[in-house]
Amino acid sequence: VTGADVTVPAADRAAPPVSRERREGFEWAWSQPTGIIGAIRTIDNIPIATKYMATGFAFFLLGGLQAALMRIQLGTPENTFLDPETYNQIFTMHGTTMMFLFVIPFIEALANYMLPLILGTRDLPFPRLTALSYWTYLFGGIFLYASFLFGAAPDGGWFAYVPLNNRQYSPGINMDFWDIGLSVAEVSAMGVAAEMIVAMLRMRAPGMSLDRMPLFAWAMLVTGVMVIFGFTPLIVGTVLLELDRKGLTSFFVPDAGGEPLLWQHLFWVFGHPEVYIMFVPAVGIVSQVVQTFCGRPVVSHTLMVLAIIATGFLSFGLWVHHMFATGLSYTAMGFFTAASLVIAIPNGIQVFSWIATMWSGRPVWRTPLLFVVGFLVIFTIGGITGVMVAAVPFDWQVHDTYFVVAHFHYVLIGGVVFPLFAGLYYWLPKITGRMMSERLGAWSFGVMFVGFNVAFFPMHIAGLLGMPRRVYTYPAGLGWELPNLISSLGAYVFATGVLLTVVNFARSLRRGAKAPPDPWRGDTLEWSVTSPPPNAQFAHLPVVRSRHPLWEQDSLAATDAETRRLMEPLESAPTRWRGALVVDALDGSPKAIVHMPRRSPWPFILSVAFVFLFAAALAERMWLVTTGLVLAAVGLGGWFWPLETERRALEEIPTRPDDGRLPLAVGGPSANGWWGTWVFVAVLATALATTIASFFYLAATPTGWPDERPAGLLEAAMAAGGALMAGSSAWMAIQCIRMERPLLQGVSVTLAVVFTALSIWFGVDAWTAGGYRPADSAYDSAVLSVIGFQWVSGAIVLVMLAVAALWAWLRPRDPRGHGVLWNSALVAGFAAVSWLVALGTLWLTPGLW
Amino acid sequence: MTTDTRRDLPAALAAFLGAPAVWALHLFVSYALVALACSTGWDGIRVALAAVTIVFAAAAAWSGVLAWRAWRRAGAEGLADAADPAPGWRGLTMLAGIVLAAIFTLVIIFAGLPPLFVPVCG
Repeated sequence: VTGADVTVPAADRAAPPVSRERREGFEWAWSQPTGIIGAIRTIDNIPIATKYMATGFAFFLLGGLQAALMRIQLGTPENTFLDPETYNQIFTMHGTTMMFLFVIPFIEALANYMLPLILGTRDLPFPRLTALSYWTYLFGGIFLYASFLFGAAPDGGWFAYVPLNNRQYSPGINMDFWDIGLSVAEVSAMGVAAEMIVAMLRMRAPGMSLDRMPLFAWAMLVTGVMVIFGFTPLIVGTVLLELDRKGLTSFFVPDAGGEPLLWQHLFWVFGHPEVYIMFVPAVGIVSQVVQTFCGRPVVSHTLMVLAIIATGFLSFGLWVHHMFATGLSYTAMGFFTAASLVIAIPNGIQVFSWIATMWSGRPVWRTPLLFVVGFLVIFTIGGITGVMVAAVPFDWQVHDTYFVVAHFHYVLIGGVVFPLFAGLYYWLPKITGRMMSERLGAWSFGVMFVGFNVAFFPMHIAGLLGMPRRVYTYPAGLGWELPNLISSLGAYVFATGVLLTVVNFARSLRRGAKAPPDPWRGDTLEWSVTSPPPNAQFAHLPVVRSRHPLWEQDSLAATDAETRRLMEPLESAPTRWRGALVVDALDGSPKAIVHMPRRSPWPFILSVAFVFLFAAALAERMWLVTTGLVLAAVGLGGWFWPLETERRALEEIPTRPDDGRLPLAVGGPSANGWWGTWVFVAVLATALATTIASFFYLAATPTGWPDERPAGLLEAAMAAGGALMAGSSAWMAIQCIRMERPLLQGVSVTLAVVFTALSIWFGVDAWTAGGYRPADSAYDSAVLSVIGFQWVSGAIVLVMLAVAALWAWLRPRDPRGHGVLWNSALVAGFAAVSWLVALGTLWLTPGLW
Repeated sequence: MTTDTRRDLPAALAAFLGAPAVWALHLFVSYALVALACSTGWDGIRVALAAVTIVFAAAAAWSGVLAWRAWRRAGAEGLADAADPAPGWRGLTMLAGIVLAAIFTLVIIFAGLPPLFVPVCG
């Protein structure tokens, strides 16, 4: 253990003395509920993230078990250990589990735990959303694995290509489990992403301007944005696929004018960013580890930030390189080769920056740094084979062979799993309060590193020798026996290395040395609190004046009187409710105080409701739908019920103080909810864009597209008009708040509700008037997707506005109600724009082609 | 210089998102043009793609020039805080404008090259 001499955490040393009463009040405010009921009601990021990580790691072990079974099967030619059907299920679930149930949730859980500590705040901005995301993810994962109980585990590949996974060729419920379980897992990932984005922009330590934000935070900010824009198309895609599989539509059915390649686009426009969604956080982890263990700042921090951002963008411009063998035009492929090659530049910046940091620093070879070195070696090899397959002619030679399997395991295990292990060895002492064994850690690393290369390097050779992917066995005599046998042996060595870390972890919990606050002499704020951290994280909020506060600042206390005065209401306070600080997104100056909910059972109830609704989508039973809807209504009602603690907050701190104190941010553009709503609107806009793009994509393959404009356009225009009126009325209502005209405010919101209802009514009319038959026609399906999206967004607006109307009539002057109004007006405005886009799309279509 | 969120946030967003947005638009427009040309047999596609590439590459490069000028105007010492060698959030924003413009101008040019060498609808 190094650095054990520092036993009083830096954050505590900076804290000014407060009265005992205040300290006890503060501890009450941030105390956790106990027992089983408590576990359901807790919404604090620390307990939730801990469960999240444990669940994610359990799925990692399950996915690894599946890999082990596959390697037994492939170890020798013509093996009969697994039958073809089981093999299909296992390789599908291996990919699905690792991608959706392990990597993304685990990274997000780690971020969920560490971010408030690193940013110097007390929790994430939407604690109830954290809880909802976790429970939804847990139930979604269980749902997916429940398929094994029915002998119907998904078997069509983690990519679910059509027509293989159409109703015709995959009639069982296997892929329905996949479709539905996946959507659940994705929704939860997006919930956490929204949290991270708002946390990074609003909830940092005072003084932490953008350029002082640690690299892990930058990486998670970019990751959050990528999740929002990357996962949404896949959710839309899985909904379309599920509708097809139910026989309701024919988006991907060629006989009806559908287009199987559309699915590949929808899948990979998610699937490629996904690779970077997993890798970018790793960049953040590696940067923190390299920095700490080399005892110096990462070389060219600013370039590193920009490389992370550039990677995030470019990752959205190379998905077609998964489709080079589908017969696209040369130029179309060329566009995507460009981005596939250029992304090597930011990745190169990152790799060279880490190497330069190690070169010029004084590396201390602890386990986390070992894993980083393993990452650098393996990931660079994977990156080089990546540049190789980015070239179309080379890709054609190795497409769908084991060369590609080798490539992406080098990228994913090298680029994600090794950094995650580095991160675990780095942060677990903070989380558990116990040190891990360095010796076992080094052994685990060595065994994993050797095992990995022995397992995956021969796959390059097997692939070059022509061995295809996804085969359950292969004949002898093709020269594939030896590489496969070596791979299988290597896989067991690798698994042994992973188990050594599990043993190390279990051992450290029982017998590990107590971890000091800052065992590694780190530079970021998480090392300024005790290990494990207190539930409130920071009773005294640290004041940041440097990019590496623990290295470069004498104290984390405020040095100027003005900051001290502003921060005083948060010094081991508030005591009767939970409060946190909101800062300026750019310069990190204190802006406002926000109220945080303390505990709530409703996220759990709501996620149970989701389970019923998703089961209903699978089993098509009315009682499931009813139970789900009732539970959802109860859950939402409870969630939006006014909180007693928020009332106390409003009593204590004015929303518009006239003496220069920090205001309480409740409702409207100063509140976190408004920023969260913007993220939600970004999700809706991405979903709309996906729908419209799919529409035009199908129109470009014009089998069976009508020559005249569809019927029902008048009704659609009325619906759009209704949505516009609803949006305007909602904005009027906001103006009424400013002018303090409560009656007019109530009338305006009510009008907005009525117009939204009318808009939905006409929207349904637009559909029925057209006499569409989506089951037989891709065009009709495309119309359904465009109009159906409006129904969904209309329904969301209706619920939100109804709540706002309730507030406006009952408590017109309450700022909490104003928040609901602002947020619903924003979504209503989006719904209006969305209807106009839909109208234009329907109007433009057939005549043009 | 104090931060004025109403003025500074849009400027920062433009610096971080400008050039990438131009690139995304270029990709979208080029892809749509190729799809259109290949389904209608339009033979002016090469010239159109070249023109589109030049316009978009120029736009992305221009955003970098704007950021560069802002950087020069501010002056290196005006950006950094004396106690902290970091460039300050303003400096970060301007550097983002310069570096991202360089990277994305390059991608746009790269994406514009293939139509010059290979058949457009092969």
